[in-house]
Amino acid sequence: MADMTIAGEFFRGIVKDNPVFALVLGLCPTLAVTTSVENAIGMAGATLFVLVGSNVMVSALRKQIPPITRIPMFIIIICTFVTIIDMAMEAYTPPLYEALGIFIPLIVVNCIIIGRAEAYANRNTIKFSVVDALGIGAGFFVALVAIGAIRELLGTGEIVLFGLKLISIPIEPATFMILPGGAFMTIGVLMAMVNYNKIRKARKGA
Amino acid sequence: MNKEYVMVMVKIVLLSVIAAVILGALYIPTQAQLKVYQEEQKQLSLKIVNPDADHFEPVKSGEETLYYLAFDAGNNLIGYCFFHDQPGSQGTITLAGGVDTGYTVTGVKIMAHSETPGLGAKITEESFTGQFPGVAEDDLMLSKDGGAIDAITGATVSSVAVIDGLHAAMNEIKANE
Amino acid sequence: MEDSLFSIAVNGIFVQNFLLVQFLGLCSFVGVSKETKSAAGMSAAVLFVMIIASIASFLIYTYLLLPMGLTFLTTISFIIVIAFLVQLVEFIIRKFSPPLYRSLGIFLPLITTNCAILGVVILNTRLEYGFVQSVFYGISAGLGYTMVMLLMAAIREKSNAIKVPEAVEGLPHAFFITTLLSMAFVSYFQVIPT
Repeated sequence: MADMTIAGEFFRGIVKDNPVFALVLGLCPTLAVTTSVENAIGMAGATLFVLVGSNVMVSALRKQIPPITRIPMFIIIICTFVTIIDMAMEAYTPPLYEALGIFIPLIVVNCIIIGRAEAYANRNTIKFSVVDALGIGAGFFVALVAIGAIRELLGTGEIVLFGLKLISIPIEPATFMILPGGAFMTIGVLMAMVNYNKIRKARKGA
Repeated sequence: MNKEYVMVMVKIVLLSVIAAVILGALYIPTQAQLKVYQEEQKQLSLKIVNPDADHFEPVKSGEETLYYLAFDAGNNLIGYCFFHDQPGSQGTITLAGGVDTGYTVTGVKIMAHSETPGLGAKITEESFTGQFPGVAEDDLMLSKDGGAIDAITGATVSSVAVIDGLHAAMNEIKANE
Repeated sequence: MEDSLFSIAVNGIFVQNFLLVQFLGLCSFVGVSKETKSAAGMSAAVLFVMIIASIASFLIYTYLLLPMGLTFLTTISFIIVIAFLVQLVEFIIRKFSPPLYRSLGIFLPLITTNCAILGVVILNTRLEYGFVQSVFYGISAGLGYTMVMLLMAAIREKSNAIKVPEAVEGLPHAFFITTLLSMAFVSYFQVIPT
């Protein structure tokens, strides 16, 4: 694979292989924790840590991992990193940990991570695996923050980040956006927009 | 074939052991940090719910702390502080509260909750908790019932839970006095 | 927690429905809810594994991890237990009931990474449920999952006949249906006294 460039591999994770909008992976945390931008950032950060950690370890051990037991071994590696971030967040950022709740340990079963271990890190060098993890992690981050921003802004009329009020708009807050239904609607609308863009581009090309 | 099989098993066991050792090593410092944090939060909360107090003394039953006595700088008893768990609309609301010796509220702080963000979660905000200081025990109910506390719009259950929690904690202190 | 069995059941099935309110198990939800038959197969497999996983994880947590002070290994042991159980169930079904294996078998490997299963066992320990409560919560959550899965599959099958803009076809459409379902669950079932 001589044509791989670091920048190319990085941006592929954000746009073409965006884990949420293009690959449709990791839906549960995407919808559950995006009630505010702050929670979205916390979740994306934790996922990024696990993604980089597991990609590096899997890539480093890829010659040692026997093919038949690779999935259990991936899971053990991923689970170790998840437990590390779980304990660290519980101790050092307790309010955020409370808000994200059960979805921190559930990073283990986030298909994005095991998907990258299987499809990428197990076949590529450590250097590219790190770049891949950073790109996919950034893609996840962008998706989560976008959904979180829309829901928080429409649902509460303002975006508050780490105690700072960033934007506030003079609307009657639509509580619906904070409730689960709002999450499903937001991702539905965003996906329709992505699809619309794709279709329009395809038409132009033809 | 057998040798290969053994190698696979050895690798899995080795990986699991390494993982467990790393996690165990990290568990100790993070737990210690967590304890420190919780203790800090408790002391800070006590100060918030009774700002006039100089120091606090726990009232214990065995290992368990029931509530705290608040003293001023001259070592006079000026009130009681407590932590209380109360079921809210989603999960448990943990609140810290303080009253003076005549059971007038000196302050309320929500420690932990899992109420709906944007609705019930507003119980943590100053606009809600700020209503409590100076309210006597008899006025401690919603304004629509003739009390002194305005409920959060759309989150009556959460608002009532906080009020009920304070009453429950006060009754507990009276029973132990 | 002193939750009564009734309130656990109402919570598990309706108020805190795994798919529509707690966002657990969504990957399988959008993936296999296109037709009723596969939705039913997936639901049956999830319900079954949820129950045995609740039992196994309770025993491991209470009698192994807690007394030995190994609670930091909770997540890792639960996921291993679930993976092991899924393999075991697959093996048993294949051996004793080939017809059942043909209808359920393909869904079983997908279940290890279904967050609804890991979700239910972690929630059981976080809510400090006892043995009966844990199993009951597993059953209720599984039933809630099954109900929504079948509802969704039925709606999606029928709505094939509806013409929607090209960009909304497929997933966005599924999400819009889910929005309405979720609103119904959040608004209507909140009034059930628990």
